[in-house]
Amino acid sequence: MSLLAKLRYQFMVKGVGAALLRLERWRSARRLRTRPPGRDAPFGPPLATSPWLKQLIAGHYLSGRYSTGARPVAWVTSGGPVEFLVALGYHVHYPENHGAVCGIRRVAERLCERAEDAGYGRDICSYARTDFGTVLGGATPVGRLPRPDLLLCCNNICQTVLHWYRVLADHYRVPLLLIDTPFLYRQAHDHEVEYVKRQLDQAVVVAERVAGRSLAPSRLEQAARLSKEAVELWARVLAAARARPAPISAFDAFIHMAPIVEMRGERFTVEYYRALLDELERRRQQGIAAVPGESKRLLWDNLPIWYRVRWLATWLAERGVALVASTYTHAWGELAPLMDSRRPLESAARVYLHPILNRSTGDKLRTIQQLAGDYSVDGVLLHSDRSCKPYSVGQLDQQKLLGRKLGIPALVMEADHNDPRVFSEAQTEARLQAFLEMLAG
Amino acid sequence: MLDIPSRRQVMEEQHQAGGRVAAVFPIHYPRALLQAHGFLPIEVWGPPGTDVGEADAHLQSYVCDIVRRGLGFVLAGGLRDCDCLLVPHGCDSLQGLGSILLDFHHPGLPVLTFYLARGEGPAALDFTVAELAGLSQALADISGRPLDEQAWNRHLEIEVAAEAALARLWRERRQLELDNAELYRLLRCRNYLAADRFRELLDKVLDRHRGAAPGQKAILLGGIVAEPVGLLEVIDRAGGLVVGDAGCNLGRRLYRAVDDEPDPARRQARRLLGGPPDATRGAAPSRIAEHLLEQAAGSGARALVVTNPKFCEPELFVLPEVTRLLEAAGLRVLVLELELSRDLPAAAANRLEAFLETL
Repeated sequence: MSLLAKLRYQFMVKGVGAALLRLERWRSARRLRTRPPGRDAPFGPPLATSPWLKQLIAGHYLSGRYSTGARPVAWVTSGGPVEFLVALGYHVHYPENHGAVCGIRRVAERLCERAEDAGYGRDICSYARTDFGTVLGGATPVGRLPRPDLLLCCNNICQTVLHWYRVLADHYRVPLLLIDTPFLYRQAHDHEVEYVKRQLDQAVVVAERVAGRSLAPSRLEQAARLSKEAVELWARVLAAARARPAPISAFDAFIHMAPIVEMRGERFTVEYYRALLDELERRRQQGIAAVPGESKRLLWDNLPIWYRVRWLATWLAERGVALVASTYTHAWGELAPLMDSRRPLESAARVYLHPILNRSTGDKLRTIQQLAGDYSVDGVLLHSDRSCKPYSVGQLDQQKLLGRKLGIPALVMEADHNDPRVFSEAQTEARLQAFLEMLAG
Repeated sequence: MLDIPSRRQVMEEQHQAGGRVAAVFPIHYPRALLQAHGFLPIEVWGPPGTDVGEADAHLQSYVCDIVRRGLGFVLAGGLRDCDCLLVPHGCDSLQGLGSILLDFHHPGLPVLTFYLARGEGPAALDFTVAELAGLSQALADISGRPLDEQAWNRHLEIEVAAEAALARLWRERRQLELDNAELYRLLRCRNYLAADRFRELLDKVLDRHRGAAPGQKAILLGGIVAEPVGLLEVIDRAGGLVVGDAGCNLGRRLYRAVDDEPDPARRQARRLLGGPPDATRGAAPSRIAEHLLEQAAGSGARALVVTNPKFCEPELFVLPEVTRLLEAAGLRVLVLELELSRDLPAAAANRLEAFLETL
């Protein structure tokens, strides 16, 4: 770490940057108040907390931009145990979240092509290709990514991240911490929890060495407590959509989930979700719908199709269809009961073993069934995501069982979360149209 | 032609001798433990000729051939003479296969799983020992008899001896008159023969087939599995000589002997965790490249031919960097994506022939 970099960080991030982002938030909020969407828009009024969300995301990337040399930087997989890194003062960068930003901003394809030019085949995850494209010099909408001092890979979402992070570790020549989480075909056994716990203990030692400081138990407990609070609030934010009409859609949640993924363990994340929850409660009381005239309610399974989120949201809303829940966003809220800030590492071992993607296909079916009931949905959209096999394998059976045994109609839609070249708008539209007609009976 | 027993023959003999058969999906699993419980492991690598129509109703088109054909084989009743099915955790697709078999398909025989630790050090070792204990208990439940630890140690010794014989075969490859297709017919019976029988067969071949090897252009074969067989025939015709295997099916399962460990569980675990670097176990590209260069130097290979089924993510991630490092060190690399079921496509055959001509 250098003094100059630290001064620059303080000035650009905490000083000028923070002031500019506050100003931009104020201007965005004013625009929202003075220029509400037109009467023809298929959506309800935008969430008033959205400018705050933009401020948080922009602030996070701004912090990353000036972190190199000023504070330790870790690149982390989206399901990674991050609390001890936050407590050690790391800036935490999530390549998957960055990939989603690139997907939404329609630059992922270009970045994927850059990676493909370097030999990475089109059959590997499009998040990974987006990341490799960026690492290899492709321009990103967030400006510049911080160089990692440490990589933390937790394979509780897929094995793909392990291969991906090995490539990154070779490229950057920095330590790679692997938290290997055995896949749970059934309930977790003691030896699996113990294995993860021991890896976490070892990871802390390496992270301390790289950061050049010791982990203070009080700081870890605080990060774990804030993480748990945020996760609980996030779960309540999602649960707000159980109301009829839903005051928030799953499409909104795809965007508003950014802090729960990449800013866990921070106080501002808790404050943000508390405000969002308050706003949703007000909307519920006032009967404000995410989709005015909501007539059908659907559940989403798998990652969003980032480059078509707006298109799909509009297409469904124009037909009075609200996407009210998703297994994807739910994954960040469902594990709150397992979190215990008084025993942060012990409970982390259990928590990080249990994301939906590390549980069996049968367990996922039960989750879908549970959500379908809780959110009173009329049907399920299963995004068969070419880039995410752990999420997608099993969907064809889940579809059949949902329909035949549980009476919940489900549609499988072929796409990819970040590579638009394998998405057919016409085909998707035709299948959705047929599905809605079937639901209308 | 070598006299090699077929899978069917071996299974019948095993049953006639009062033993059991375990069908096993790729890749890494404790072969000796299964044998100690009286189960002969018969591996299922996406049997060519399997009708995948039924599997297509359950798996998306972007799942690899090994998993799709494997499921097709299971659903078509291909395991009717087996006593259990073991699905080791080899990758995301095999994970999904194990899960849907357990949760949705219930193929009429016990389905067991085994998680291969991707971590290292004492935590991974202890975890693997516990994982082996769980698998052992499941096998004991099926067979109705407890594990004989002495038998486990004995089978570990037999496995080590078979691997030593295999290593010897590669060392003496240039003095074996077998062509590549015949050699791989021999080697692939490692997938279903008991280790002692496999070793006997190798020893016999090493004694009886002395002579100049037919090819001159020394290459390594890498990737997941050397299929289809047409691939080897093209190598034969083009004067290639496979002098080493770095594939998942063979070379990456030449584990360390671990002679200093009396406890069979820890020995088995250390062997599994200490195998050659393998993309499917999450090895770094640099380590894989380093190992391949050592293998090439030791065998005199001038090139590496990699054959993978389509959609194999672990391989796709490491190949760009591995290729770059190998070529920088002077080892030529050809990567082919092939389907298991078909004959070698003409385009792939042409590429392979052209590649071998340049050596």
